Amino acid sequence: MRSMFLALFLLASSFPTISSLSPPSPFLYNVLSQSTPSYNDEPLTSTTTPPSSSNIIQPPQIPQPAVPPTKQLPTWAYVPNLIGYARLLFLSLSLHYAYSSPSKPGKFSIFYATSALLDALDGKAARYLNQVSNLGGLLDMVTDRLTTSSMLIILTQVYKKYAVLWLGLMGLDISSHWMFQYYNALRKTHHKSSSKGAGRTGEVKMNPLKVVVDYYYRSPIFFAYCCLAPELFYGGLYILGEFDGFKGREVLRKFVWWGCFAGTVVKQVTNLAQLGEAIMGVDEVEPVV
Amino acid sequence: MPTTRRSKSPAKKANPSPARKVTKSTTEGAKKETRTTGDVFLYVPQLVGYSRVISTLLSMYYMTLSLTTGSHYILAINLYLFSFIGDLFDGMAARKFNQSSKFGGVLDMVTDRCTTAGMLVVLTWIFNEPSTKLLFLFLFFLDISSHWMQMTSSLMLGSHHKSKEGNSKKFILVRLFYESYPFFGYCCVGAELTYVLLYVLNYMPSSPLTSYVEIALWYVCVPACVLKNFVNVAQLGSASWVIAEEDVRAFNEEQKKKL
Repeated sequence: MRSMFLALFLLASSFPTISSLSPPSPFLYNVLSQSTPSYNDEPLTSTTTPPSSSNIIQPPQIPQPAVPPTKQLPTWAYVPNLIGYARLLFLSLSLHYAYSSPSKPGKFSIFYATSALLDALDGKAARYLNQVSNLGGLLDMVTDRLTTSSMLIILTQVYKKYAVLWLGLMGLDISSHWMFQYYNALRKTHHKSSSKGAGRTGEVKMNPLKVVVDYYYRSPIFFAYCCLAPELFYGGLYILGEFDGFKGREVLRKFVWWGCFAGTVVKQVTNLAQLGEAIMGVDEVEPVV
Repeated sequence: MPTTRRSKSPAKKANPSPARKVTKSTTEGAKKETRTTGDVFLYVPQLVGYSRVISTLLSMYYMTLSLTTGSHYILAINLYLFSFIGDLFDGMAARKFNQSSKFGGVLDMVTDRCTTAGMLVVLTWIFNEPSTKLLFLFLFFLDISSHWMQMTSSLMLGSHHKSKEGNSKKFILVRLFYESYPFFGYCCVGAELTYVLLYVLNYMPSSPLTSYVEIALWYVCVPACVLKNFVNVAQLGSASWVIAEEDVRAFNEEQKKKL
């Protein structure tokens, strides 16, 4: 029974990697990538997919959505945002089971895996249904942060010895995304931004860190792997630490350390790189007076 | 961005926020003194900010120690309180020394979020009842999401002068929160003290003092914590509304362009 849930958990969590060949959320890509135009000035539908993605539904220049634009539907009721609310709900349920049924990983795994699966779907739904919105992108970003943070909080209980490490990772995750989003939002509203913030890919000084970050955004598969790996790493560590002697434990252990650890490390490196970039650049953007 | 807690309010056109006044005088002052980017990292409020970060990290370390040994809780909580008090000073320092900066503002905001998060995590360790653990987890969720949404919506408003700020302040609690400094102070300090006292009460040996601390906790601090979290919910709602309005505005403009 347990191994069935485990298999389901692993299978479901791998869907995002398989199915999303582009970054999980259009807004996430918009926010974290300098190459897309500002949401203030240009139509939203032309900014949704990176040029290198192989499953573009609409060409970058002339938006041809699969369905006509939704009229008069309030943003909060957009389908991808409804999926986002469901993600939060499933996350909350998974945490409830993590805390209150510590003898079985099954219920936690199902809800956590569903939440991760929906993460892959909301971006796709937004592009397919032409319901991309700032609210949706922000909801996706915040839910991702809360998912990572809550897994790390649970790990502080399961691996008490390393509590400071989990707290540090949580702090890094929150602060790097926060600073970077703030920095990017400032750059988008100021067309006169200094050359230092001109472009990650156009940087004159190439250093190894930048190479990693560039590849991170240029390759959708690598991006998806690095975003998913930490979630699977923390989720897998939780199951390994909390439950003993279930079928497939050795497989999970190998998967966690040989499959997910590398991606987790890379994600932290890119977090640090983007935190650094945001810190260096945030006061170079011309202030609004 | 101003480096005080008042910075959480969206920019008002009628009342320029303190940072805007300071920015103008910084531009004037720039004629007399020149500053480089490196200087920003050494501003006095930033120094306060760095010491806050270090203090919080040390406090978390000792809180994890106190979980196993029960002995370092006083040091842990003093370090945490130092970080909290530092939060009051960095804004004042920024205004006094004319050293407001965006980096300072966002450093202040992020440090606030991380210290509150750390404290809430520690509280999940202390209480064994699953529903109590979940309560602290959800308070953490609310803290992060409401402040994140608020920051994003005020950044969006900052770029559009056609902003409907009247709507965003329709909740009386939120209006009171920003217009009355005593209420604001009571809510913020009371909420933090709630978490601090819950932590301390867990480790304090019983004494006559304990009952006074408990009274202070439940009758003074917990109401403030509840109010602050209601304000968080209201801000989450109003910020989401503002962002959705912006979505609609962009959508309608795109539609007009097509015609």
